[in-house]
Amino acid sequence: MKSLKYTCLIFILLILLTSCSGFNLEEDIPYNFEFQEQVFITGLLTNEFGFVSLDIQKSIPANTIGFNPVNDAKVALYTKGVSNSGTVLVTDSFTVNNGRYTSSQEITPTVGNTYWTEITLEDGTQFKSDEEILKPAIALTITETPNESIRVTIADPIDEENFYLFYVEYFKDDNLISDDRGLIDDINDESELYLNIINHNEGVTVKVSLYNINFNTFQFYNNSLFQGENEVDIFFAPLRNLYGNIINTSTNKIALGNFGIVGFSSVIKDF
Amino acid sequence: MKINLFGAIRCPKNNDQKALFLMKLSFLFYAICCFQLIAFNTFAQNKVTLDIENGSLESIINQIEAQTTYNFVFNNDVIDVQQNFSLKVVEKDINRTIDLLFKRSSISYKIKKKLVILSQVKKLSNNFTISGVITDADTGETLLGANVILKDKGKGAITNAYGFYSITLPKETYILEISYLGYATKDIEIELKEDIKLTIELEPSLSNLDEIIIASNRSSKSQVTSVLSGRTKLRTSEIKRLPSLLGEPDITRALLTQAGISTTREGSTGFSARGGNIDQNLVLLDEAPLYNSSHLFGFFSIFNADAIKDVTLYKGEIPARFGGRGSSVLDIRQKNGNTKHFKGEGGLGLLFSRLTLEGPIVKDKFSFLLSGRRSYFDLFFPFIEGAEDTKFHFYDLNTKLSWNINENNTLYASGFFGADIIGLEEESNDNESSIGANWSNATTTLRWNHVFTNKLFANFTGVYSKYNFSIDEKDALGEAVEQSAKRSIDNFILKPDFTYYQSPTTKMRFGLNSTLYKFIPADISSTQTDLQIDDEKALELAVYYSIEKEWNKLSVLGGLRYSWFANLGPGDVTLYNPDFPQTTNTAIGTKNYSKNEIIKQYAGFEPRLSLKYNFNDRKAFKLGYNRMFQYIHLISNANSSLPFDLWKPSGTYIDPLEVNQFSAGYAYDSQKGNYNLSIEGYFKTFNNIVEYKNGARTLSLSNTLETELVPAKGFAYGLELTAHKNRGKLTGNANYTYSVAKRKTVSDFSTERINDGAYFPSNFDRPHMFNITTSYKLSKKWEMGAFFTYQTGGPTTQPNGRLTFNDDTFLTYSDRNAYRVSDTHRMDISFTYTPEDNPKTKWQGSWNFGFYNIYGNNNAFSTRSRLDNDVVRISEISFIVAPIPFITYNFKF
Repeated sequence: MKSLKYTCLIFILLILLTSCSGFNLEEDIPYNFEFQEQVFITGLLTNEFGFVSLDIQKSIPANTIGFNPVNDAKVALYTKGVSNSGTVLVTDSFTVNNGRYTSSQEITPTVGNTYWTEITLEDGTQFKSDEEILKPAIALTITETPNESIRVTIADPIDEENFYLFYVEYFKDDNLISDDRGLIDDINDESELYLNIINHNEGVTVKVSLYNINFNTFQFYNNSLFQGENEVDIFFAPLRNLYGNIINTSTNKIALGNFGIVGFSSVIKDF
Repeated sequence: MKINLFGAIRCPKNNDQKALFLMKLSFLFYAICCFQLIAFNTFAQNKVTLDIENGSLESIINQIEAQTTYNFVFNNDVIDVQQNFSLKVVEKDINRTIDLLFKRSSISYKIKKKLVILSQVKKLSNNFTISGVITDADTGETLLGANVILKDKGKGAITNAYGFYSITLPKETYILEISYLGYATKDIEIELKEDIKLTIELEPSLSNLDEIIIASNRSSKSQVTSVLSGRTKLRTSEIKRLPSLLGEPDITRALLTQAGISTTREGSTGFSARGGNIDQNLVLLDEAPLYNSSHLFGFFSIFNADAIKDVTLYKGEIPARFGGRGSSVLDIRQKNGNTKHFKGEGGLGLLFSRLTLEGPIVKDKFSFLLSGRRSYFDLFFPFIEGAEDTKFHFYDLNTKLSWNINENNTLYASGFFGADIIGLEEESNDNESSIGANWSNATTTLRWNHVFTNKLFANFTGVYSKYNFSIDEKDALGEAVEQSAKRSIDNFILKPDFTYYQSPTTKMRFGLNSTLYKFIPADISSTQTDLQIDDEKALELAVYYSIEKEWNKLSVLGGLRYSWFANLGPGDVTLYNPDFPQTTNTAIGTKNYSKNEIIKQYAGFEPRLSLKYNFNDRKAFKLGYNRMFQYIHLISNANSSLPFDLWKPSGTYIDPLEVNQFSAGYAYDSQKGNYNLSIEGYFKTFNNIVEYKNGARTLSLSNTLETELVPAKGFAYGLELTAHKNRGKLTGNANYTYSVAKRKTVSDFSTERINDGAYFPSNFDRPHMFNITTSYKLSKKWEMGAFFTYQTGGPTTQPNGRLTFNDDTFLTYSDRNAYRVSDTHRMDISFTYTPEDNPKTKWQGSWNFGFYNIYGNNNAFSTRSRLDNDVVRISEISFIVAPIPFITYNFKF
């Protein structure tokens, strides 16, 4: 019986000791996941006359801060006519500055033509964007509404499934003070598409830019918008990478980035 | 209206008709004469009065001949007139007398005029059946899985889930050996010359006679006897000996000590069987399906070990009577209740307690079981600053009524109700808010056992099962918010099941399963939103047949199940533009279905086959194949399963899961059955697994859930090694599992494919798992238990780089499940002190104490990564990072 008493006493002491040890439910751990370098290509070709540019960078370890531009890639822009009459090199002459490749000459894109880019890195890895049709610019009109907001109406073509990326930029004294961006889809073929902008003050200039984009470009920007909202946690599925329409043709796998072929339009309103 | 007249015969008018008429008339007279003759024979002086106990046939024949005008005719070489018969008749008709005389014999008879002609019936009818139920002599509890073996012949039967057995054998004298783990083996000599119904009672072995309990290999953990591989049976006595969290015997944690069974994370709910998802396990409590088998987010199972009689896990070959889930069946049976004495048992723990009462309402006829548990963490909250208004507790209640109407009919009514309740309240000067959640399982099962003949046993089951989750929120700050959401799944089940015991070597089982499902994804009431989610309804029907046959060394269990499933209206199905991936952006309309209209239906055959070849009675080789269809899916987030996860029926966009499993195994028992070894390998394929897309909004409520999902297919394979030690002071088991489980998504659209359509490790991929469970009897009063587990860390997806886009920082993420969290390992120990019983009282008590996670290893429940001020931060969430002591006082009376 004595041994039982001693056992109980020791046990109670152990309970007290361990109870004081505390419980820490969440603890930061060192980042020691293996870094996997990836290439990220972004750019837009609009219907407007001008220089074409795209950015190429390599990812850096997640726990470091910085930017790793790729300055030694070969970039080429190709097109095909409406009649699919054969591939034509638009240009392969680009100047590079801190990972940004800008065409040496201004280019006049043709609505309805198909465009894509092909990129070769120094190590021979090749990338290609989807061959996408250049969509026309969509007309925008601004009207003021009685409740002190403005409405930007999009002249969305009937019987077409369109996707749009829009930017709303607020300037004061030519300085950008804030901006918003978002995505619109017209796959439901809504009868009227418009943006209501309520966040404006006197002396502010509002610029609304609309990009008539293809579905993969829509998905790319959708992924980028989503990534900013979430974290990787027990409650969420893993986040999307910034995949769009780029394929690594050396491995035939999808790669990070997007080269969008877009119809561009914009309106400006001073208040 | 057509009227047939039989009372009159009309006279015809022409000659031909006259001739025909005369023939008919002659026939009528002939018939009347025959009837008269029969009547004369029957009603002549042929009454018999006899009262003979075990008299020879010869003497009985002589007496009948003396009392009647009848004579017996038979061949002396065929009919043994010296065999004894008993007959008691008073003034009985000769036909009835002879019928009674030979009713249970192999002699058949014919009566022709004044002759009774005797002959021997065919040899087949020389077989007789012994059938009945095996029960615990102390409690009257039926024993399922008890062995009834013909001694020295090796043949026999195993009792079914209701303790019933049936063996058909040629007329002979046999010695039956009846054994069951934990009970004294009983030998009964049977002179089988007629069908016998025999209820057999087995005496529980006293603990100090442990050494002789296991008299036979058949009672140990042998895998040699069962034709099925991958079947594990656990008894509550074993489960109670395992060290457990806070001293509460836990069936789910006991399963995790078995080879091939893993959990997603320490502290998460459910289990994975051989690489399958959590929802691929059919968990049955008294045949009622349960949809969340955990309390406290997975720390404790909802099964009260005191109320449970038997636990069987089928993770390999699954009998045809089971279906509806892809990977395993966990069949849990509640006790029936003591039919002989009123009894109680329970346990008092640090944070919760339990009590079970059982006894006869009518002795040996009608019994009850009532068993409840409740946690009382909440009693301590008022003493914790800031947590005064917190509510957090769980409870469960098991009930059962068993009515043994007669030897052919038994009724069982059982029920379970378990709930978790959480409530958090916050009060400040300018605000008062509260959030509460609760989830509950409720089941009712009504079963009728009927023995149609001594070879045909039937069970008719009706089940109602409901899982319910609700959450409500109130916030008085600013614009008052008051909202609640309820989610539930209801089942209505009917299951007639028949077993035909043709012979000791042939058994057939067939039946029907029908399940009506009702799903309520979210019943929302809110001051903030008017969102309504459609309810869903579905019907699943299945018929099955299986046959188990044994030859000398070869045993076969073959089965076929045909299942049909329909998703029923009313409902709206969203239509999508087929040129694009299914997203809310690509929806183009809806299609409406009216009430009970079939929205989508599926059907298929599910073959099952198990083969066993016995090299001898201690070595066996097994092969098996299974196909299972699963028509309902748990839409769980990528890392863990939680009480509010959604169950979704197959439908327009979600096809049924199909799992095919091939398995092979070798089982070996040592000479005296002290050791059992088994090695089992398996290969599984999965089609139509539901995976969340990358970036899916896992907590969102919508009618377009399919836009967040992508179908996947996969495979799993593994090797399981298990060893048991059954005798001696040290008993226990050790097992090691090597396993691989991979998936790949299937989609026409690259943006939907995870890892670009390449295979990735599933969330349940655990290459290495090692478990060891031991129990050591230190003395008559002291016993020590220990459990150690090691598992490869679970897969996880993490950021593996960063880049800049539009002047913002974005992270790049690894392939799905490219990394793993730290390996997990843990050791638990327990001590049980059982004082000597006091002969003056029925009270028996024991103390159980020990430590869970004795060396305080930090086993991660999950990892979290986020971009915080442009710095990537990774953290591990663990719930148990220190040794958890426990002490429980268990009692019986």
